[in-house]
Amino acid sequence: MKWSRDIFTLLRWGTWFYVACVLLFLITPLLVVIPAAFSDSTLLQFPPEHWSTRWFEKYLSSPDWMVATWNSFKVAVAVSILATSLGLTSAIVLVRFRFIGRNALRAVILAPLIVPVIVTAVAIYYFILQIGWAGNLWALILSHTVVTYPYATVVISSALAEFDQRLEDAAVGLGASRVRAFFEVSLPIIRPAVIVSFLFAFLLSLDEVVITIFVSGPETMTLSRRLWDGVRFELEPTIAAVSTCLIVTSSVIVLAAELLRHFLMGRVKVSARR
Amino acid sequence: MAESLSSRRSTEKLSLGRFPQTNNRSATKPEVSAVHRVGASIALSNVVKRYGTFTAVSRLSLAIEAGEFVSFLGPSGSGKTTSLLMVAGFIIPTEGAILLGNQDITRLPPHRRNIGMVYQNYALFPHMTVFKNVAFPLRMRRLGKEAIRARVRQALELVQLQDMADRYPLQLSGGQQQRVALARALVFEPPLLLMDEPLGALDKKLREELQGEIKRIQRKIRSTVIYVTHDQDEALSMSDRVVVMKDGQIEQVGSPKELYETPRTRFVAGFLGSANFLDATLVSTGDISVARTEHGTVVKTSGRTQACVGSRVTLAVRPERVAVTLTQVPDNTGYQGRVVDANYFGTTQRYEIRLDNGEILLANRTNIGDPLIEPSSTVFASWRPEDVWIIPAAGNG
Repeated sequence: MKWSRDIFTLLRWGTWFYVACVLLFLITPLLVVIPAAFSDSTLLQFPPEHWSTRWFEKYLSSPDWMVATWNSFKVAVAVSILATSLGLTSAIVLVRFRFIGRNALRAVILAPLIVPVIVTAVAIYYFILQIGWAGNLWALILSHTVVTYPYATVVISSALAEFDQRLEDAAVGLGASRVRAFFEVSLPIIRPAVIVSFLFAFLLSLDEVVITIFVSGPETMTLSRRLWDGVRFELEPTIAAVSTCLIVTSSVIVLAAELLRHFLMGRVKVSARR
Repeated sequence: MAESLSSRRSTEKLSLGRFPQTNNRSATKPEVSAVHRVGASIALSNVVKRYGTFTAVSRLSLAIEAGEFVSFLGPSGSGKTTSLLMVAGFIIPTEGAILLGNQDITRLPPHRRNIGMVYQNYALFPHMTVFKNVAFPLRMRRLGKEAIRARVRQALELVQLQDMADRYPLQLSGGQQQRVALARALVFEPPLLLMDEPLGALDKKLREELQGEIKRIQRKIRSTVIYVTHDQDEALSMSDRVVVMKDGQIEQVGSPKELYETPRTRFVAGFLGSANFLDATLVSTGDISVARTEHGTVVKTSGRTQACVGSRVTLAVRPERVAVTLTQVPDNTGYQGRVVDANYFGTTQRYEIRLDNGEILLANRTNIGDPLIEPSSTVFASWRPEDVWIIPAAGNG
């Protein structure tokens, strides 16, 4: 009896240790990058000998970094709007309608998740060259949409599949047109999924490197592309400073999504308890 | 006509206020016309619904008067819900026509039919408060804020939930949720109210309470109601008329009393309560017909029949009409047998009796304090000729 309890205690501690190792492995790069960003040195250095915020100042005062940031932001906003609205419409079609070729359509939409990114990137690159959009911001927006749209479709589809369609029928029975019923009843209920999809697409676009390298030109430099170039050619602590800014932005967005989800779900849970 | 109708009834009916004049309402909005203020008549003529080779509803014809409470009763798969959804507009009939008042609504989209509907699962909008749920149909009809507030308050008073306006549906009990659904279906004064097993998800006690409440409200607002249920007690106690359905067809339509006391088919007799069915051959016909069952029991009946002497019929007698006595009845018409099984059900005692010729009979005896007759006791089963009716061979399907 005593013996078996010891085994379980050991197993429990073992599990905790394992989880801690995994977390450490995931967090270590951040623990290196963030201090390096506050270094006084002109080289990437860890741990830094003197502290300063000069690399942040350099980032904020450098026109090419600012242009890249602004481009990234514009692209990410456009991509999240496009991907989410496309995801919403395809989710409706895939979940609500039964038709020949539905599974084929689903496979095509989800293909970018399965096909190696580099293949997609090369394909998009040739396509962009063919239509003569190279160096155009729209080329970036559309190519990012191709790879974020499957995520949006998956997230919204699962919410829509869970949604009780009889609620929408009830709204129609009470005098709402089908479209009105969707916007008044169905959409508000699946709203958390739509917001999550929006934020997810934003982050994915901000983060996208592989396709961006192929598609972006000198006039359409994005933050991720600029970072990539910085790592290859400059290796000064500005990239650590920019990375830190990106880490903070991503964390804030993920946290916001989580809080929002918690708040929206929480209201229903609290009310269910009473 | 419409004017006098609405003014005559305006004093009796629930005063939920009036819709504003609807002259220049856009065509896509639900119609609210004067004739629809109280219940409207509804007629289904030769309505058919086929799914591929499967016929869900076949040649359904039925006329329901304004203000009538009609139940569709039948086992699952009998086509009662399909019929209801065709009236609501969520299913388009393959053939036939549906008329509401004198308007053909067969192909009118559901949101323009102006029909109230209550579902078994309530279908309340979880992201809206009770107030907003009830206000929803009014908002779709573009009523002003003040009018909406007044009407919602009155509708909630009608279902006695005026204090719950700010709650969310999930904060309410099942019974309260169904009351909200009822208020939401009534608040726009639909000429027709459809209810699809509205009490199916509630326990027995609450169900009986809400049955009374629904009847009270229906009498007050005089709306026409179609009520789908598979609960025979519910259908019998609430309805003006019951439509018994089977395999997509109407088996029999009639008042609860007609259906229970003179069912035309074995199915109706068996579905509404229970009955003893005795296969027999007609020996003589007249005011009192005589038939001989396969076991040789000779039964007198005052039931009418078109069948001629010598033809095969089914005799039916309700268990509660079979009297069980320990001694022979005075006029010697009791059949002698033994109790096979005796069960105590609180308000009744139920016996299974095997007559000496092998005939099996079920008998119910109201529990008025007599002790339960023990199995294997010798008893006499008897009934009056008027307690037996004849189901022709065609009604045995």
